[in-house]
Amino acid sequence: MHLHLRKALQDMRNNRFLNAITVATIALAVIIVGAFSLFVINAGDLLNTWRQGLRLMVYLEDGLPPDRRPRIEDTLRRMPEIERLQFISKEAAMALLRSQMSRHAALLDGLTQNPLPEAYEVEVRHGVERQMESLAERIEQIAGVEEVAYGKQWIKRFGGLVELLGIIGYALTGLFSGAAVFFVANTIRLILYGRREELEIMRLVGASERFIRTPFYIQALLQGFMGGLVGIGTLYLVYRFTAGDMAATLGGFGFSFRFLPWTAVAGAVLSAMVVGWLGCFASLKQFIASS
Amino acid sequence: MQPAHPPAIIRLYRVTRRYGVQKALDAVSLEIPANAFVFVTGPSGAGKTTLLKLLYLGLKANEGQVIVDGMNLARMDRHRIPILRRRLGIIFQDYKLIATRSVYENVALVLEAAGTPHRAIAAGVNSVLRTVGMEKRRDALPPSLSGGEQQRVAVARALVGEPRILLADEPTGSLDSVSAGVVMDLITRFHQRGGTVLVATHDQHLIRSVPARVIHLEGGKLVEILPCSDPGPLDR
Repeated sequence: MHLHLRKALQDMRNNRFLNAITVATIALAVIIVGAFSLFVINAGDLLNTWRQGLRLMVYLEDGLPPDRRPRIEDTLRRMPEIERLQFISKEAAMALLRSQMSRHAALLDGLTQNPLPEAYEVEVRHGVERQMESLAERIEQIAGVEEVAYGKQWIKRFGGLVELLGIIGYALTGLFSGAAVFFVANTIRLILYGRREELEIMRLVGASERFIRTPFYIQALLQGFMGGLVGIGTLYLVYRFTAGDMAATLGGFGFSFRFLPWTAVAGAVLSAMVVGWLGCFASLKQFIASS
Repeated sequence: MQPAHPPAIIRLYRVTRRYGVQKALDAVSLEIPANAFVFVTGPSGAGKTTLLKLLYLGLKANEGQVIVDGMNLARMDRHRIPILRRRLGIIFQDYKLIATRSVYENVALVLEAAGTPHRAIAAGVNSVLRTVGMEKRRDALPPSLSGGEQQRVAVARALVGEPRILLADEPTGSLDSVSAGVVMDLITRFHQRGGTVLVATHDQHLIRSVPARVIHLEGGKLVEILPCSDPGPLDR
């Protein structure tokens, strides 16, 4: 194995330019696919953060008799998805609105009566964020409930966008992996044709096909490994430079921008090696068949 | 009881090899005993090189049987060809050295391909380079060597694996008389140590320089076998 590794490294030194192009191609593929993964992972995190922070506002019918409210509250408390709830009276709602409007609160002075409805602010248990829509529908069925509100359209659209980008990410992964395999295959093919005579001499002196092929496979795996590392390293540097700005922008939402988990990093490097191996396999198969 | 003659190490039975419609070898049959020294001669295009190529499976026979060191080449699986070639030492007229590898690496390649341990490779290569007088040029690249030196490296490469049979195709064809003498001396010493030698050449001077049997080919046919004082039969 040591001998094959030495031969592979020797080949890489002798074909520096081709080797650099291959590594750069694999690195580029890793950067593009990695950037997409980074976006999808963080967008997913952001979506979850928003979902976790979601509260339902259960608005009650105007003029609801006071004895009906305890029954509504009791029904809500018995729902397993609900963590806690808080009653907001018309007066409390007005006070809250005044505090939110601050300098423009004087506009509310002209109101002859309080138009705000009584409401319950409902906090759901962790893990049921994705069932918000059905939960809201069930609460709306309760007699005396006028409307249930939450940012469902927004969340739905953003979730849809994240899913779409995830699908595009998969497609790009396939596309760039294919391109990288093609590049590695061509690099190895060029090296093989450049060394055709040498390989023929090796065969004549008793070298087996395995003996001839192994250094090429090692070379391709090393190219994949290096391409993977360069790609992930570049992505990490970009992340380091931009993470601060992203955190400042999104920190207010209780969200922290994170890099790819180590499993994804290892997966990216391994995938890059597989890409290298596949490229080598394709070109060797063709070369052996033609020789 | 010992047999009267050593057994045949190479057998050809009605071997034909065609290039298109042209017959390079036409129903050639012969037996070469172990430890024989044989010249294969004839004019250009007689089939000398083709005969040698059939023995190391550089070509396959279209018809007939070729048996080398007990291996039937007609039935040989592609994956077993390296096993055959490791039993042979091959010297080419154009040396066939790898230009980008040093003298040492060119010779070591044979042992590396055979899976020889690293230390044994170093010992074997240094020893054979001493034998051919190239130990001081071990780090040189082939293009920097003279023709004679390159052929000596080629002989070293052919001998380092301790083959049973040495095949040489015009080994002195492009060498001056001094270098040719050195190369033939190395080949003769291999024969004296018990190896079987087949040299394809049309150089009559070379043929007369070594006591050996001569197989004469013409137009792909075996036309004459000239025996010599060497022991062993050489039958058609």
